[in-house]
Amino acid sequence: MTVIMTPEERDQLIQRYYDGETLGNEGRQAEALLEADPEARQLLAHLRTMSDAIQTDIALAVAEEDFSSYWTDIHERLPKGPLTLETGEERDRAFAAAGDVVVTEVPMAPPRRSLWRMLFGPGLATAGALAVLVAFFAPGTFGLDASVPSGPAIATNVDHTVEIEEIDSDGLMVMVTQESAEVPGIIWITESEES
Amino acid sequence: MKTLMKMLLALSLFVPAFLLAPGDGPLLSIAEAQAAEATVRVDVIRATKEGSGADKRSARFKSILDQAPQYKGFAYQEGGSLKVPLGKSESKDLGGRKLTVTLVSLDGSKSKTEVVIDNHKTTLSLKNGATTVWAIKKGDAADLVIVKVSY
Repeated sequence: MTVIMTPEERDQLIQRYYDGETLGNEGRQAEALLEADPEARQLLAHLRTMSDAIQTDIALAVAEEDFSSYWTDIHERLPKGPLTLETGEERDRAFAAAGDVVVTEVPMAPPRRSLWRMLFGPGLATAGALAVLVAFFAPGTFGLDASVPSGPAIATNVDHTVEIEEIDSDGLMVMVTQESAEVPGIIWITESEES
Repeated sequence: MKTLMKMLLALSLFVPAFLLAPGDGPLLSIAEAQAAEATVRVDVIRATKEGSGADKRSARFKSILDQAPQYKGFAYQEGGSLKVPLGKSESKDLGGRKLTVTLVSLDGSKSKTEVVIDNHKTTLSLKNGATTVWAIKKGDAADLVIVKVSY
C-alpha cells in the first residue's frame, strides 16, 4: 500500500526512523520510502553524517581540554576559613555600610524596676504561700478551731481534750469514764447518804 | 536594698500568721492574744431511777444521758456561765451544788483548770472547748454536772 505524504511528513518520518522513535508500522513505511525515494535516502545519510561529526567534535574538545587545574581553581575561589565579616566580600560590604552609620555614645543607667513589681514580686508570693501553709496546718487558726463542739457541751473530737491530773474527793467511790468521739469523759463520784 | 525590703515584707506577713496560729507548740493563740480568761458553761441535770424520759432541755445531752442507763428519768435543774480570768476563781450555785472554777494556767493549747463541786476537787488539763461530766451519785439519784471550758 502506497502512502501519499507531503515532503514535510516524509522528513519527519525519516527523522523518527533515524531516532528509533517510529510507532506501529511507521518503521516499514520508512523502509519502503527509503527504497523508493532517493530524497529520503539522502536525508537519512545527511542525518547520520551530521551526528558523526558532532560526536567527533565533542570527543576532540574533551581530549583537548586541560582538567589538571580544575579542582585547584575551585579551591582557590573558596573563602579561607569561616565566612565572617573579617574576610572577603562580606567584610567589604560591611565596611561600606558602616560608613553610613552615625554612632552616638549615650550613658547607660541600670535598669529601673517598678516599686509595685518589687513589692508584689516573688517575696510577696513566698510570704503568702507561707501564711496559707500556716493557716491550713496549724489547728484552729483563723476561726477554724475544730476542737469547739457544735452541739451544747459535747466534745466531739477524738483527740483527748480532757486530761484529769488530780481528783480530790471525799466520795465513797470515784470512777472515770474515758471520753470518746461521741461522749465526753465522765467522773463518777458516789457520795455517802449522810453528806 | 531591694532584697531587704522583700525580706521585711515577707516577715511582716509570715510572722503574725505564725504567732497567731493556736496549734500545739510555741505559737501564741488568738484567744490568748485577745483575752486571758476562760468561759465556763455549766449545766446540771438530775437523774433518777424512778422517773421516765428526759425533759426538753435534758434531751439536748442525750449522748451523755445514754451513759447512765441505770437512771430512767432526767430533769434539767439549772445552767449558767462563768467568766474566769487567768489565775482567778469564780463560784456559782447551780442546781443545789456549789461550783468553783479556777483558771490556773493558760498556754494557748491547753488550760489547767480546777473545778470544785461542793467538796469534790478535780484538776484538769483541758483543750479549748473540752467538756467534762461529773456524775455525783447520792442514793437513788445523781446529779450530772456538765462543764464546758472555752478560752
